[in-house]
Amino acid sequence: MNLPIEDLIQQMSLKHPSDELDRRIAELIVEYQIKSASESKQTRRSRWARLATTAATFMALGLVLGFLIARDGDWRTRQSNPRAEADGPPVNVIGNSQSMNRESGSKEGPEQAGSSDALAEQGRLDNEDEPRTRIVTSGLVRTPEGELKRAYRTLTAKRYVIFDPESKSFFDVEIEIPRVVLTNRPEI
Amino acid sequence: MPLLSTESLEQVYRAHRHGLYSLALSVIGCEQSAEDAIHEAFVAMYRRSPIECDPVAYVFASVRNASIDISRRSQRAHRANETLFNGYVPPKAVPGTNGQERLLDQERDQILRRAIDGLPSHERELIVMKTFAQLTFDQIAEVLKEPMKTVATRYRRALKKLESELRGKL
Repeated sequence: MNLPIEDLIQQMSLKHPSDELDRRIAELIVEYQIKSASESKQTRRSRWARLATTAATFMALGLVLGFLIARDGDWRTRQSNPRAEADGPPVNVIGNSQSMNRESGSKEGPEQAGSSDALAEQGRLDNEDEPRTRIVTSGLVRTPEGELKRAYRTLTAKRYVIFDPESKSFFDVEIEIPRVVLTNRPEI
Repeated sequence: MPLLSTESLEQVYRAHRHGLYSLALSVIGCEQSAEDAIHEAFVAMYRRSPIECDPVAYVFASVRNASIDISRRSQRAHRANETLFNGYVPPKAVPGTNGQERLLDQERDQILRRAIDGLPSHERELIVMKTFAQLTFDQIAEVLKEPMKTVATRYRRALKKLESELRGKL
């Protein structure tokens, strides 16, 4: 509820702003509207540009990572190449060293072929967790009993095995220079 | 609180241009500078990013701040002290009013005008915002950044001052 003095004040005639002020404010509004319209266009454009840049960055990152992974894979493949494993500890080998890479399928002689299969089978039975045994080289070795046996060197060169054709099984050998000592001989 | 947009700025200007002008004039005391202050305030508001606030209070606060800035910048030795009011405009002839009553009205108007112009700046601003611009006490409190009760008390004190001024002269 207004006090009487308030009513009196409200009846008083105030000074008015000039038309010049209205014109200046109207110009300002128009100017701002034009500016904000162009800014919103630019924002929309820059949003697309940002999206494209992000996509390009991720693509480049993917390419780099892919390249690195591929290189790593190549490197591993090269490591698994049996030819790269040709060097190993010297073995008292009688006869020629022969490549027995099962993957390449280059097998020499029926005995070796059978031996290779049996070796693979034995590897599977011995330890399922270990990487599959691959035969790299083979050669004839003399056992302490004086017998000549064919010894096979595995890919990792950690094991040397001799195949017993009678039992059709392999047993590990510890190779010493210049002798071969049979170890872990299974019961036949 | 609504988000202050450019549309609402325009609406506030259209609805309160008299009140804004009176406020600026009451702070600066110069008509031209009051218009400059309003323009400067709107330029600044358009440049600012939208905020959540009461648009009316925000615009009044901006105009007041711009007016204070201009007043300080000009560094005048004394205020221009231009009046807020136009000359006395006699109300349209009301049946039953005679010439003597009209003279009394005119006299009262002049006294009141002088009394309002003579009020301290902070009280004059309150009268302008409450009585002429029809702002609520909440809005005035937001403009002045003071508690609402303080604003209301100060306003009533200013009215009483005007009333006593009027009683003493008539």
